[in-house]
Amino acid sequence: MIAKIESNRNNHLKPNYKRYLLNGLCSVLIVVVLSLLTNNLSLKIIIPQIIIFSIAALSLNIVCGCLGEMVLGHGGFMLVGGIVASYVSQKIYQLVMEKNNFSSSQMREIFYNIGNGEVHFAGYILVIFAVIVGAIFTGVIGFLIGVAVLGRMKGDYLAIITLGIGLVFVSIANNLQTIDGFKYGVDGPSYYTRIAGNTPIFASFLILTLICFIMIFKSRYGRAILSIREDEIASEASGIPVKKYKIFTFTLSAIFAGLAGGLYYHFASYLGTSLFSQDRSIELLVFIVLGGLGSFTGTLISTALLTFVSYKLLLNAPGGYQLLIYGVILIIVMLIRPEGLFGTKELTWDFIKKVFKIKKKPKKIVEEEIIHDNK
Amino acid sequence: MITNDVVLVVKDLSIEFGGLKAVTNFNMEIFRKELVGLIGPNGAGKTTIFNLITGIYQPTSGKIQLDGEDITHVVTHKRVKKGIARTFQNIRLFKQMTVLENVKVAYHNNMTYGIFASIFRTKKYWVEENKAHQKALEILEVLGLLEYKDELAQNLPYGKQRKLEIARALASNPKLLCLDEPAAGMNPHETEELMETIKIIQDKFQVTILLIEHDMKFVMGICDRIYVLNFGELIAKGTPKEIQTNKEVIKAYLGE
Ligand SMILES: Nc1ncnc2c1ncn2[C@@H]1O[C@H](COP(=O)(O)OP(=O)(O)O)[C@@H](O)[C@H]1O
Ligand SMILES: [Mg+2]
Repeated sequence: MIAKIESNRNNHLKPNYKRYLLNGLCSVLIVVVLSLLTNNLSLKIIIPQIIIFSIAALSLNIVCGCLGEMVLGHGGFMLVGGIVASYVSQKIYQLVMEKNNFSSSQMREIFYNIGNGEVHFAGYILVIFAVIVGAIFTGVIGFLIGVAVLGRMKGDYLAIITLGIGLVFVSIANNLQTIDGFKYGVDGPSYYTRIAGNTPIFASFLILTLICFIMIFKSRYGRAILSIREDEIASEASGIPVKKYKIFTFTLSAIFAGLAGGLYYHFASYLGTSLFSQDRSIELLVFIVLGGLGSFTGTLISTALLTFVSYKLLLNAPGGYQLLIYGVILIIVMLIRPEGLFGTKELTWDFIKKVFKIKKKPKKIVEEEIIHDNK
Repeated sequence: MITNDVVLVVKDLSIEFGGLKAVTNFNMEIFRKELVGLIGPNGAGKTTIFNLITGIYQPTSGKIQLDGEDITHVVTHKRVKKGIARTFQNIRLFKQMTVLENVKVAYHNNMTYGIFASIFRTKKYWVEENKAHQKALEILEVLGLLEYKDELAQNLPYGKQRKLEIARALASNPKLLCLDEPAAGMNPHETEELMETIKIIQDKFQVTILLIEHDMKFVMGICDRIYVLNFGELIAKGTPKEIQTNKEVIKAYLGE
């Protein structure tokens, strides 16, 4: 008895600063490596997309994988975030220009030089601000939809409603064309507020997303959300306010989908609604199903893999075959390994240590895998 | 043992499912630190009464009071906060979570840290998480599940899963613990062990217990008082001795 109690005491939870430092260093390393890789012209297009779709797929995974509700219109939330972010950055750009009577070439010196792709400090700040506003706005939309729908619907019904919501967003964006006189990127922008292939910004947002999700899911919030996936009735009977946490997860998911959309706009200066239609929503689902519903690291690896492959395919194969490939992948995964590459497991340091039976060797990490995959 | 300190009062409770009267005018009083049994043939409405007490069903008529407060229309998770916890007849664990996590989930309402505390891992996060951790380990130890703490719940043998259900219910710090057939599917040895455990739990966690059970030896051996239900109606109540000799009860169990 005494021995047991003592072992309990040794089991005291405390912050693992060494691990934090290690993760921090790795994050910096990843950003640096990705940025260096981005010098290559084709990787310059692929890597930011991998990062953006990773954020989108992770945000889908917290609803589909962790909460256990299927969402079929996630692309629609990306579109909302993209539109709002594009509006905000263009509007501020225009206001700065008009207030100060700057010429276009002066603006280029302050913000972005589209000619040589240079981005100045003010340009970064503007994009970061716009993207965050877009994310928050999408979060509000997600929250309102969640409040209206989540208490009443679940399972197939909820999936179909989210499908409808995605369609509605795409349709509105298609028909609106301008907000307040601005083209918001469906046919290209009114002003270029673009950071293109500036990988460090994109990568930093991905790392922030990961930190948020990992920390939240390793707390009482995460346990509550996972318990809802496992058994809603038992969760409620254990004192978890199920509806509140469903809305919370839905909102969190919308925020980061909106973030991904905003980043995409400022990467491409283009939000063609076909980019965020059902095809995109399905693509994101394929990413998370292949990676493992509920696995963040699995999502990162499968997103990198599939984005890379589909990019190469798009260049070499006639358009339209992409979805065929995804369909086939989905069928094969379901037949061979329905839980996906990782299931609900994560690729963690402890896991890596176990696999390689190495005591201390801070070398491999998830996102480095992505780079390897890219080669 | 019996004091005037009433924990739960159920008054004229009835529920219908599309014309079927599952429970009719059911009355019950449970005193603090009592161990009350609820028995009756299959389909008598016992689980339905648990679902009414925990708020999973809303009664057609009648009232439920906890510590003098009317909770008839309070939602389930708020009743848990007020002190009612339960287990399920058909085990409902969080299968893909570890044993320890299963217990910690139910400790949720005893913690107050917010989203930002969890993202930034503030001191409050660590203090409360540690408290949850220690409490969960303590409960698992009492139920003899400590060595399984890192196993997935679905990998536990059946008898241990039943115990984990009890452990999880205890984590919410209940005043009233409702156990729905805790010994179902257990062998005689396990059942005997469970009787011991329930007594220890009641003592250690100062909890009032209401339990449904089919095993008569179990019920008669451990309960202070027993309520007998047949076709949704109360047909008898009293001490185990009174119940054993009650004609109505014998008739209900043996058939006419
Ligand atoms: N949700 C429900 N819908 C319809 N009938 C129900 C429902 N829940 C219970 N019943 C009925 O109520 C009666 C009592 O069931 P129950 O409380 O589970 O019995 P037991 O005493 O064996 O636990 C049964 O006839 C059952 O079919
Ligand atoms: Mg029952």
